[in-house]
Amino acid sequence: MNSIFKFTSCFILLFNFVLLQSSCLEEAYTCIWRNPERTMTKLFPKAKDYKTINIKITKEQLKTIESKVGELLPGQKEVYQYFELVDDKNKMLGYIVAATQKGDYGAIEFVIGLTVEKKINGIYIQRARERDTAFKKKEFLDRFIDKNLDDIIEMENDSKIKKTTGITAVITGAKKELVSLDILGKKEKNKDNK
Amino acid sequence: MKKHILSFLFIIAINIPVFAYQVDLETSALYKNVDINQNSAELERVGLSLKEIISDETGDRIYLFLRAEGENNFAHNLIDQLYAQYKGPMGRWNITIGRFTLPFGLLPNYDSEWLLVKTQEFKTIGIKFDSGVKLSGVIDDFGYAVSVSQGIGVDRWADADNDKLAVFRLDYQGEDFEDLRIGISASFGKVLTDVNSAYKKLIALDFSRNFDSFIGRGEVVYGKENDNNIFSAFLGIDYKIVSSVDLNFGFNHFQNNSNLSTITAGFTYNSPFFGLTIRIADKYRIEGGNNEFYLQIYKLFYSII
Repeated sequence: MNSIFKFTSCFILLFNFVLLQSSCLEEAYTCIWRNPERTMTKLFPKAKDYKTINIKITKEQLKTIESKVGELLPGQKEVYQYFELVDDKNKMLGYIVAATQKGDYGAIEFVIGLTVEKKINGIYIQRARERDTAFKKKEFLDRFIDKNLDDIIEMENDSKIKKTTGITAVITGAKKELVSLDILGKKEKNKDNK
Repeated sequence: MKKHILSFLFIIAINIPVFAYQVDLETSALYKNVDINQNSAELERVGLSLKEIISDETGDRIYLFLRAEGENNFAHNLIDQLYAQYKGPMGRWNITIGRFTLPFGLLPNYDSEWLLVKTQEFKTIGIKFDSGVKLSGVIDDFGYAVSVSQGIGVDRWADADNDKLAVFRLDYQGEDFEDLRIGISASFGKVLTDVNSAYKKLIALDFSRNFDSFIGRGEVVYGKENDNNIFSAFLGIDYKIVSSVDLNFGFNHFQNNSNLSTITAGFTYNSPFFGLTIRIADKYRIEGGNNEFYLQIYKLFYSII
């Protein structure tokens, strides 16, 4: 009885703490990027250094982003994170974004490399537990190379592409990250990296 | 003195304008039943992590990290990790000073602390975190790490003797993150904890691999603890059966003066209710036939500021 009382008390304590954190009530779709440098050097072999950029998303920016890509997943509405990469002359090479989308069997995490012209130069799947693995195949991921936002929107509307959950997640995720970077990255040109 | 210096560095870092930081708070409640008769319930663990990144004009330069935990209804409170890491270009080399995770076996890439299927580090190397200096990095598909530390874990800050612990690790990871990762580690030196003091010479092989819905991890350790041979084996498999449910399986074997083998089977449910994770597992000890049942409720709060 004492153990059950302690367990129940602990649970109530935990539950009340959870209630205070309204932003944490849902499963958060954030990509906890493991081994970032390994993938960064594959996407940008000439990169010498990288910087983490975190941007707080204002309500107006969130509204603009969601008007273009639909509602963002929980955990993605408050802060936008990406990475800037430079070469040995400190010239900007491009950007890397770690994306997370919803799959049939949990989150699908992947990494997108973008040139300074905001064209995709590569996508690497970090983690996915989907049964259907078509979205992990090189022939599908290579379709994104040299594509910009307009091309991704075309892919989204292309009825010839068989839209499995995984394929839809990668296309949707790429579109979302390109839109977000376009809207949020512009605002950061003159700001501190915070 | 060391924790004061690193804490001071943290306070300075908060006031440096070019930074980004991340806060994680984790907590779990645990109910345990042993052989039907013995019950216990507690606030198993509360963990707070703070990470700061200090950048210069071209890139991330210094990572500051703090992890503090209260365990067993806050009966045991400690600082697991407190370190400053200076990052070389593109992760090719990094220097870490402070208290950090030892680069041995599965530890650098897999943490079972909050899970019910546990890895074997407390039986093999004896400690998970230690204070010292570490050189680590990634070059192409290979990763490496070398650390020299006090060998006293997290129970104290001041070293009790002049014996140190050296750990080496080399690993290989296939092209994609889910590909096979294999590692080889070695540790030499004295490990001193509140319950044990031993000279250890250990070698470990570890692997992890994703097979779509399956994740498999394994570790084999062989070596000497004082004059005794020790052998350890661990195999863990997770299988996602539906979107929110994973089946978890673990086999643990440890051989020193006696044998200890356990099989753990259970599941993890990521519930839609307030983001709580519920884990249930049964651990059966092969020698002796003891049975332990666990029910854990876990919650992660995560934010970047």
